[in-house]
Amino acid sequence: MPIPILQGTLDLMILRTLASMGPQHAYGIASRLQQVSEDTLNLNQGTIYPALVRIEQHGWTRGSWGKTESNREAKYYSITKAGLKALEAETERWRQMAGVVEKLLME
Amino acid sequence: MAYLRRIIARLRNLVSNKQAENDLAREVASHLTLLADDFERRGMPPEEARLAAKRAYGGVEQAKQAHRDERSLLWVEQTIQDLRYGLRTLSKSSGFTVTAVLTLALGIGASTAIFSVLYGVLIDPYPYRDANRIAMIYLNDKHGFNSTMRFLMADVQELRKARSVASAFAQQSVEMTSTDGDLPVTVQTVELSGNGFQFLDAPPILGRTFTAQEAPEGVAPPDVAVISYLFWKKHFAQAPNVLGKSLDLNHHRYIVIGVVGPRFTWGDGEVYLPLPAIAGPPRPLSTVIRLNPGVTVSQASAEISGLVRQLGHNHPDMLPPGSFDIEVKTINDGLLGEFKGTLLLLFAAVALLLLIGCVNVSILMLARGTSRQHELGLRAALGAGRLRIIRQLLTEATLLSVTGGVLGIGLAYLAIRLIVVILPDHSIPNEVVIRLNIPVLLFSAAVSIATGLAAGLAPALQFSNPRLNAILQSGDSRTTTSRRAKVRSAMMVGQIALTVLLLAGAGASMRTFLEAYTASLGFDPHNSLLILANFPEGAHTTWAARSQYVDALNEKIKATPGVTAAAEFYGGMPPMGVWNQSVDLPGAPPDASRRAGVLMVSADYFAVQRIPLLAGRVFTRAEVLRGSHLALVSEGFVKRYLSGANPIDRMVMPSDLRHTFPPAVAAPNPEQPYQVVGVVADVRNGGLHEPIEPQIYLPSTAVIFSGSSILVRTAGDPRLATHSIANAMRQVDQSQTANQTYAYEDFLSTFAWSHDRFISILFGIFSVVALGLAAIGLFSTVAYSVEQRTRDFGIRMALGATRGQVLRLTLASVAWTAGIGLLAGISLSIGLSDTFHKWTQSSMRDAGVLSLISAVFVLVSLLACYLPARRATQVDPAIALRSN
Repeated sequence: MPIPILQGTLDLMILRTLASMGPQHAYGIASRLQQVSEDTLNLNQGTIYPALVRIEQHGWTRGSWGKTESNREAKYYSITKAGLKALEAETERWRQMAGVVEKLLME
Repeated sequence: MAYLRRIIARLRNLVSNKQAENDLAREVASHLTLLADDFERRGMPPEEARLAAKRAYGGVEQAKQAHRDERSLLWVEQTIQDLRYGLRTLSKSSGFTVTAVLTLALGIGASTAIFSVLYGVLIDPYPYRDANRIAMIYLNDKHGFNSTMRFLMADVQELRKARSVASAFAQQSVEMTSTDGDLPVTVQTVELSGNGFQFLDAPPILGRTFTAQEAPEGVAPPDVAVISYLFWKKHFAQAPNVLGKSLDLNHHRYIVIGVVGPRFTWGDGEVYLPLPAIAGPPRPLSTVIRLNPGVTVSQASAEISGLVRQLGHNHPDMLPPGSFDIEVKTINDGLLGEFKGTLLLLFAAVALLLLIGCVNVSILMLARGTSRQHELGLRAALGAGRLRIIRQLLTEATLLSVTGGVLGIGLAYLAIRLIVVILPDHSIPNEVVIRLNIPVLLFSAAVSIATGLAAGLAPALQFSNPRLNAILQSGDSRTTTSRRAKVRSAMMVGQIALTVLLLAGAGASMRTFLEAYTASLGFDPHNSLLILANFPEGAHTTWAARSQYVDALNEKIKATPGVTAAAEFYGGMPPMGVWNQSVDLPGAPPDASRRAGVLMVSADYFAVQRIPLLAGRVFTRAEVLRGSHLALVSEGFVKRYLSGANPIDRMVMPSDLRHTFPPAVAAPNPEQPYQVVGVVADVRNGGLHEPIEPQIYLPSTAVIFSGSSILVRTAGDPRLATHSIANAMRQVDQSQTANQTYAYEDFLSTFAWSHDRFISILFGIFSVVALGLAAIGLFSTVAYSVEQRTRDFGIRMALGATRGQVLRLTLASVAWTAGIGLLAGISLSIGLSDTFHKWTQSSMRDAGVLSLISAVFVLVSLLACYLPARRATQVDPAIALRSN
């Protein structure tokens, strides 16, 4: 049973992917997420589009057209300085949140 | 920051949407290709790989839509859609659109115009700093006379120390003669203590103003002058190099150092000079104060009252005998008085007008919306939510009102020009500028949008009702839902009631104006000139000298070509303003309620005014010159106080004449009663709306003030004689000027009628517009119901109903609505009459007025209903039955 994406976590996951893997196109990001989650995420690849545009409008990523190794054209997203800062903050927030939830569940 | 950036990006997307859309399509396509490549690499045939890619991707269109919703400001985009759609629908039904837009334009235009007056007069009347705290000090004596309190320069210092006072300056208005040009010209100068300009703090537009540092109090100041904008235009032809030029006033040379802005008209001055240091005894000066922030006028009045009483011990002649009180009034209160009420009343009237227009548009939309049921039902069926439909209808209404608002601002621009012309003189300060400025435009923009939302609300709620679906399914759009009809009837009743209220207001104020305009005055203002003249400063100070001087002036004026007679008078200005005093009748018991107006007149006064002599005789010139203790009384006086008995040789004594105080001078033996020698007819003396008061006439020399009012009867147009009379007066004394000159008819028009005229013209216009709107509302309601019931009428006529019966049927329901509205309007008018009376002196309770306006209303509404109803009688049964 695939799990639905927790509200607001997709942005964090995309930023993290871009930070660790360098510039990626939407397909690359989606593939990476699927791979990491070992297909437990209920993720149609199109689902990441709203998150991509949201992040870009925040100024956390910058998109530019380029070529893949297979010589296909694709839009590559790269993380910006503001994006790195946002990633740090979001990660911290997520850790706190996860900690709280974990504690509650342990009781 | 990131969020702000995001909003900007979304806003930008509104403009560059096409590019984003292309980009998205490209990106999705590339994504699908990459996916398919992958599947192929894993060994799928190309065709299958493409399909697998699509499956893995999910819904392409959903993903695109999610992207769109995320990247753009959804509501802005939808609003743009609604606007486009609204424009299309509105342009399709141009009749409705034009009516609605005009309706709203009239309402918004009228309220913008009145608001601009309100803003100019009540909110921002003065260019001076903290003008709402600038105040004058008034002295009210026990007879109800009030005058501004004057202070010696030394006392002004004491005033400044008062806790409630932030600062103070002294001033005096002096008429001077300028001898720069060919002809001597009278110039209105205002002398200010050195800090005057710093106090008022309105920057000059040219040069500079003088300061307390260069003109300290009590020291002879430099000969500098600051001139008003108007004087700059008039006297210096607006020359930019006016600074440094010289100005000759009363044979003294001043250098112009600055020009103040057009709104700076303090004291109606043309030239502002530093207050000179005078030799001799100090003179009391008019004093202006600024209250400390947070100090109320009553707190200030209490403190200053104590101060004045204390100062009074040192120089008792500055205070009147007997009791008095001190009142501090801000310059706003002092000048505006009851006009404030008038403006608020007019504002209430335009608000009503706007409300009527708003309801009218609602009614029109409701009537029209019925034919849109299908369209709206369809939209609902296709998945438009209720909110979405409400928004669509509100957008349409706002589109109408904003268009109306733009037109309305144009109307307001014209209306303001009319208002400025009919605005009563002297009802507002000269500093006031009435125009369409930014705050006024903001007001009308806000009103436009609010009006649209208000007008669209009822129709929007009705037509977005989910029950519409049922109607759609029934396929019959002609089912009248009774609830909707009820809402519309209620709106009609409200609209009619408000219209009747406005009509009643208009009727009442017109009646008041006509009453004033046609009132019999008791004297003849035609070919009569009124001159108000102050005697030259410092000359003719004794009673004997002054009475001789006035007599000489009179003789000189009489000898002027074109003049047939001339007379002086003091103590009132018929038809209003009267020196009301309690009167002793020696031999009769004292009675404080026995009061009469006292006017002091010279021998020819009755001849000049054409007031008939009923018994006895008038004064002679010699008697007036001597200050004889003789009197004439009015017919009303004899009837009221002497029960009609022969008054000749009775004695009368107006109580206030026993004590007069400077600068007035009294004839010898002020305690001696006056012997009645004649009776004259009644003259209006307490205003045009008040009953005539008993009147006593005494010789003009009984008390002579520091100036005179002179009445001149001329052979032709009195306005033409102004110049030669002013010249004649100057021949008696070189420095004698005529301060104000009016043809008596102009004087009446300016002071006696203008207020009533102003209100009645504006109310008249408002009520005509309201009546027109109500007529449109009735017309469209009847037209709509006729259209709805065409089949019904067809059947009835096929079954043998006559045209008259059908007509009656059509009018019956609307007659109820109109009748109830009329009654409600009349009750409203009667209920609000007292409030209305307080501000206009008119009564909306007057049966004549109410029946007249009811008749006008019934006539107009009959016409508005009959025209569309006639169509019902022309229905051809065969066609009507075939129609759906």
